Amino acid sequence: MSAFESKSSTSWLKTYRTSKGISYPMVFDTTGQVSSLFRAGAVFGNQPPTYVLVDKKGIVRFRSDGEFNKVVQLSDSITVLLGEP
Amino acid sequence: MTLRRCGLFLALFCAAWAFGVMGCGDSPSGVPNPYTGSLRIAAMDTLIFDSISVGLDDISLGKMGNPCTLKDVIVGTHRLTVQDSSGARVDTLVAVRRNEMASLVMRLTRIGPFVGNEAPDFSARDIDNRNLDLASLRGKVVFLVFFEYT
Repeated sequence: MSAFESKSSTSWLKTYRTSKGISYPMVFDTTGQVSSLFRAGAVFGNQPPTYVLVDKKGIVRFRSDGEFNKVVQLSDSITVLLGEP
Repeated sequence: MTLRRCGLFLALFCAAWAFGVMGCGDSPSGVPNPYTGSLRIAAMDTLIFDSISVGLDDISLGKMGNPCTLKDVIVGTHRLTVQDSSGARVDTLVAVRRNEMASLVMRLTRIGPFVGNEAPDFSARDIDNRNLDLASLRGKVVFLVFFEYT
């Protein structure tokens, strides 16, 4: 799991990470390079947060742009993908 | 007299039937809806040129010819998905204006950020200055979260 964040400072992000006990890598996407590759965020007409689930072969299998009703589908997808070879 | 009236009715019926049948393809009611426009879609860079699968706002419209025209699309912004049978796909937002035909040329590429695409590779430094690249995570399920706050 990785998180990409833009428009704020790294120190805030580190504090946030400690307070939430986050262990996955976090990227402070200052240039918006990764966000634009994934067409994530309001700039592209998508509602943040954007969730992208990539399978073991590198194929995008699930995506959600602020659609919170897709959360159940997301957890199901993770289970399916973890079970794939 | 009766026979003549009958004939007239028959002619009217035939005209109505023909109008109805022919009008079918253009607009369901026969009267153009003032709040719709149309979309002409052509797919490029696809190996299978003759047919594409089209989806509008997460609703599949099935297989269509390439190029194809979608008529009577409600005015506004829609999410359009075009896919060929090889799985190459593109997903984009389109604006439909009243009584206008929007023409779109879609490039179906394998690499992209949407479902069915091969995720674009990236290389970034995380907040601890460690390198993070997607290709090195091949063989693992990767969950990416993009968020922003103010």
